[in-house]
Amino acid sequence: MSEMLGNQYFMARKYELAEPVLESCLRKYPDNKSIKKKLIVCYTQTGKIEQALPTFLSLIKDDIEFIINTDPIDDDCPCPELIYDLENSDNSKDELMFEYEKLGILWLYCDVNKSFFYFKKAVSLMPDKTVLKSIHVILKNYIDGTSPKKNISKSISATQYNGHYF
Amino acid sequence: MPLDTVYKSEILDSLGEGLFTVDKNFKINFFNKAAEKITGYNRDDVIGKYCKHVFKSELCFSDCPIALVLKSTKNLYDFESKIVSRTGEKIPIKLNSAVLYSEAQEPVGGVISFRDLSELEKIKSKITKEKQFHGVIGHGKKMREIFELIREVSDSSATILIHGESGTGKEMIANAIVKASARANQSFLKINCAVFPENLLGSELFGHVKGAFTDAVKDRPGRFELADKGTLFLDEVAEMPLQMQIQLLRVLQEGTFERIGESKTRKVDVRVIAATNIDIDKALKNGTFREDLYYRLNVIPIHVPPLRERVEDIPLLIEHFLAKFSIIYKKHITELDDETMEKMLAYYWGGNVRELENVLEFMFVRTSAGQKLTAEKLPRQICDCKEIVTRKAETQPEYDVLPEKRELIRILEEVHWNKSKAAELIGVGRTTLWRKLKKYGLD
Repeated sequence: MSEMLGNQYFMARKYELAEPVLESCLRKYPDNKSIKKKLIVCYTQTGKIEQALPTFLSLIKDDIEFIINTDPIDDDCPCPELIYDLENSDNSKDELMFEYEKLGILWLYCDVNKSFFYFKKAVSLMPDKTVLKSIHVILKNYIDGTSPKKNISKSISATQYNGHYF
Repeated sequence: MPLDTVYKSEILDSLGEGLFTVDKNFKINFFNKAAEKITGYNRDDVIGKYCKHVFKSELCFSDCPIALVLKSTKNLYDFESKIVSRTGEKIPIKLNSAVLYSEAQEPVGGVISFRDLSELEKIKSKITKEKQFHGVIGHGKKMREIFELIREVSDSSATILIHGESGTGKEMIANAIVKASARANQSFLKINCAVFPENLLGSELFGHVKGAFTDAVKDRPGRFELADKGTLFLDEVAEMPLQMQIQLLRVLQEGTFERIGESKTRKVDVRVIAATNIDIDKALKNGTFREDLYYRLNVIPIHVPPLRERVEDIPLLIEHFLAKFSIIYKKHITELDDETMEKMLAYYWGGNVRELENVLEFMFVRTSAGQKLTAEKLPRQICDCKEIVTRKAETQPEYDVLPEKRELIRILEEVHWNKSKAAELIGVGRTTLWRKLKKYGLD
């Protein structure tokens, strides 16, 4: 199982196939940020949000800008289209509540403020969930400027997504 | 430093095949000159881009050639696909792919080389077009002349008389005429004039009104009315009773008729295609076929040659019928052995294409999937070599040139004697082609 095969599945948006390949690579290279970054997206698409959150937390603790600086075209990032689908789905507002964590994760690839907005909502719904609280704190510190900021000019609003790039 | 490292780009740019490499993220990091020529992209446009965004191949999301190699660890050869050029044109290609490994044997990239098949596809398509015309199989001179004639008269509504032995495919020709004509989207009806007694044929062609005869319980339109603005195919027209021939002549001349039992005259616009397999001269002489009707029908005469006069079409027809039976019987048989082919080429084929089809079906059902059709599966009459030789000597003195040689020459001319292309078209290796050329003194 190679990272390259995982990359291809990810590129072809075959998340269920990409996930085990990338997991296997991550076991081999636990510090590989690129693998983690893709695996988090896979988890959100395969319904494994409880696995996505700790991986996400671990990556933003290590290097939050590795996600924030994602370029939708240069990095072939699927998040804008995934967010677009999620926010424009037939889910009622009540149902969307269960997607706050997923939206919070995916939005960080596009817009840190939107991500924070959704994690804040998620924390208010599940105040006892430690992993959410930790993520919320890291994002807040980043936005408040208490953690280092680099270049985030490449961020794109998912609401601007029109499917053209993908 | 080794020479191939120093001149790597020059070496790869000198290739006739397009070649590009990707890194482990599938971003292009090399693109040779041939790839630029085939795709229309400049190297600088694509370096650093994801290959899926450049090539937009149907395989990118289903069976990425490099992913296939990653999964199987076996390189791919001659894998067919299509890529989209810079101008949006879909280019058929054949590609080879391989994975590049690091010293630690980790996949770190991939290489794809590809050939543009557009020219070959064009030639194939041209040959396919020349091999059949709206479903009629044939590429010999006689059939090509018929196809040309049909094309020429496609805008006309003139009456056509198709003459040919039984089983030669007269109805197929009629179908092709209609498909090529301006009336292609209008109704197309067929009637066999030989199977109806006179009174019933009249009713079928012109219709009747209620009470016109014992069984006429309600008004009924005839084929001419139903085919208004379209085409009517009258098979075995010369077998029609004489009285009916007079009525048909009137419709052909004036476009008018009356339903049986009715005095109201009706007018229609119907193109008539008629067919017969009888000896017309004899029928005219005997008076069983009216001369005036014959001349009215024979505005555009088409003579469909018997199969023995178009032997060059036999391999093509065999290929067509085997493909058809493979679908019907859900087993894959595409070939027959040389001995069987020779016997089939030499046989008289009195029943023409219909007999050939029946013989092939007989052999097909007796042969296992994936096997070749062999001579022992042939019906007895075709195995009877004595009969073949006698008939061949009587009727086919011009067959001194083997059909395979003629076919070879034709294909070679198509591809301007490019032997690689010819071998690919024929579906044999270059060595086999060379042997065949040598055998026929064409080397």
